[in-house]
Amino acid sequence: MTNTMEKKSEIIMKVRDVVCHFAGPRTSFFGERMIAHAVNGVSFDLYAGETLGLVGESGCGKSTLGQLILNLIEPTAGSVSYLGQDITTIDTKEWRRLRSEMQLVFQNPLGALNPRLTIGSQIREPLDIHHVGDEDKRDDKVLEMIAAVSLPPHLLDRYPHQLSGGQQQRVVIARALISGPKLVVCDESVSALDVSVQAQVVNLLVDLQKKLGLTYLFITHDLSIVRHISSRIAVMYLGRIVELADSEALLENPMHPYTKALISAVPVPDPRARASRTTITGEPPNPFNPPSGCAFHARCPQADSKCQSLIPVFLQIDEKHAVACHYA
Amino acid sequence: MSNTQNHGTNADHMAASPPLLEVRGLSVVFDTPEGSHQVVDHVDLKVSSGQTLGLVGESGSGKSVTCLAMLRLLAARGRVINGEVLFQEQDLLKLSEDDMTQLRGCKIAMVFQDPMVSLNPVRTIGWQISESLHLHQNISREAAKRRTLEMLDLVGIPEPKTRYNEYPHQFSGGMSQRAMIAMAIACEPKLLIADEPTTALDVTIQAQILELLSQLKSDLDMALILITHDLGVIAEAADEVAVMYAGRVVEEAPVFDLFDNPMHPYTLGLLNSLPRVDRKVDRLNAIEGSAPPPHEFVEGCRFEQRCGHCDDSCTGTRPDFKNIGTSRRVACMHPITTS
Repeated sequence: MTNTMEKKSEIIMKVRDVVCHFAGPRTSFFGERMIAHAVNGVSFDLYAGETLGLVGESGCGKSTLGQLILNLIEPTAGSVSYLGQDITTIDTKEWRRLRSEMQLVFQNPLGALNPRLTIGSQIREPLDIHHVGDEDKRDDKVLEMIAAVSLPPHLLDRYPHQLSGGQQQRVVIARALISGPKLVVCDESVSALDVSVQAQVVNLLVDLQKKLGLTYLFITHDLSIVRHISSRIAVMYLGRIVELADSEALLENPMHPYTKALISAVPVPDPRARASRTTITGEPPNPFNPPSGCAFHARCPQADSKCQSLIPVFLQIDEKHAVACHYA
Repeated sequence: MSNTQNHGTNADHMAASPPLLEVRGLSVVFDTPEGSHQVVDHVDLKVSSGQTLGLVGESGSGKSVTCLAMLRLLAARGRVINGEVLFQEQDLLKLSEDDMTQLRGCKIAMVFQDPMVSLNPVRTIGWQISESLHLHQNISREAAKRRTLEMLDLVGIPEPKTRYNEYPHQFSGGMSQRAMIAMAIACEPKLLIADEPTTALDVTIQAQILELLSQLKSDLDMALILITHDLGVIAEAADEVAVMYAGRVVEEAPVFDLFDNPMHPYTLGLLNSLPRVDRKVDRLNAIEGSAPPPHEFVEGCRFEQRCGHCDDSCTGTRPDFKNIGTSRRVACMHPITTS
């Protein structure tokens, strides 16, 4: 399992036709509730040891999908299975055991840490909750973990506000990894950090993955980071995955017009790249009132009447590439 | 494309007339219960009409405080202890408060990062945009409304007549930022300061807003100061760039020179640590450590701790600016030169 390059290995997470609807405000005082179609039929596999990047704009449902995978919210329909076991219908006792094997790292580290507990006790907490090992051996494990995220041990007695943003995020990572998870969902984990610190944390995540054989679902809006860290990338638009492919294949040869637009919109740190930009007009549609047919048709330069009426099927084009577009 | 043409005309323009805005030796101190911290330290900046100055740096480098100090918008704890801000050859720091109020929003306007927070939730968008016209220009209600509708149209808000009467919560993030820009340019300012105008927006919307800003800049012949932490945005939109670190400007250069040949080790480190969408790198070259907080600012080079090029000369004395050719300068004892 330590060999992360060994892709297409074991399927750790199998997501099938997951749908998640949220009830919104009422249309009028006596009216019905509006329904937000946050996730609208998503299927994919997550292989052990890989990093799957999940990208999309705000409101496309990427964070909801991340939480569905960890069973933090219940899907409206569909199934999520972890190592062959459906976790949406699992009983509480079994789930409690499995839960230590999956962890979540959020965007804002200061919001994720308890301001009144020392760093040391927060990193130790998962071990206490899951009753891992001997009580006295747990402190050794904490020391081991803080060294693994390259923080000096004297920080263990400090409080979160005394640490810099980069250090706080390292603490959150240490806390997530101490219970020995197999799967880590990183939800915009490095987005709030400054560039120079962001690079350090990204490198740390890559190193830890190699060392511990972790599987990452890396949720972000930033395509540059996703290219760097992921082996495969899934692009979401309004609750659906529109393209899923190996990183290089997706970025060098994007097939969905939305993926093309997204890649082209990322500002590249090279002033000579200015001329090559093609911007798309319009804004993402409202999830309370999704358009008919392909959700992207109103902004798509290639759309025709077929796109307005028919939802494109998510098709495997070749071994490495799947896309949901009538004209890909 | 048109950008490169602009670039050429800007250079000519600059040589001919004095800059629209010139900041000299601006220093700002924040008084806190723990003591006074100098968060902006002798900053010099220049920007001419029709030109975009990109001000780039990490959080806490002093880029926003510099611009707030220029407009005298610092909160009670912040004070300018040194320097002058020459706008059309007039020192803004010496103007009366009334004159300054006349100038702000009229000749100099500002666009902030989060449009949702900057807009008034209980007033219509139309009311808020025409407010600055009422305050700064002696025009009738009808004329103000007509002008506001023109502005909404100019910044690309569809159906201006309907949108005029809507409230901020009915606008999406991108549309709110367009409304903020409409408000800022309603009086045709000479200088527009945009503080992280696209940071809260999605990339496809960011591209639209950057395009709009550069379009407006040339249409109205404004000067634009673009504050951002994103070197991608700088490469996209700036003509001149000033890189800030720990309260000081460390390097200033035309955008092409800066990206082709960064001379300050910090600029180089930043560029190397960026993950890029247009190419695959095996490992990011992170800069070790993190930027010092204001209470740890030293007199000598503040990047020394994280720098691979430093020696004894970097400690103790502030590195002076070295002029490189006519257009760029760098504050480093050992600037990087590529042969």
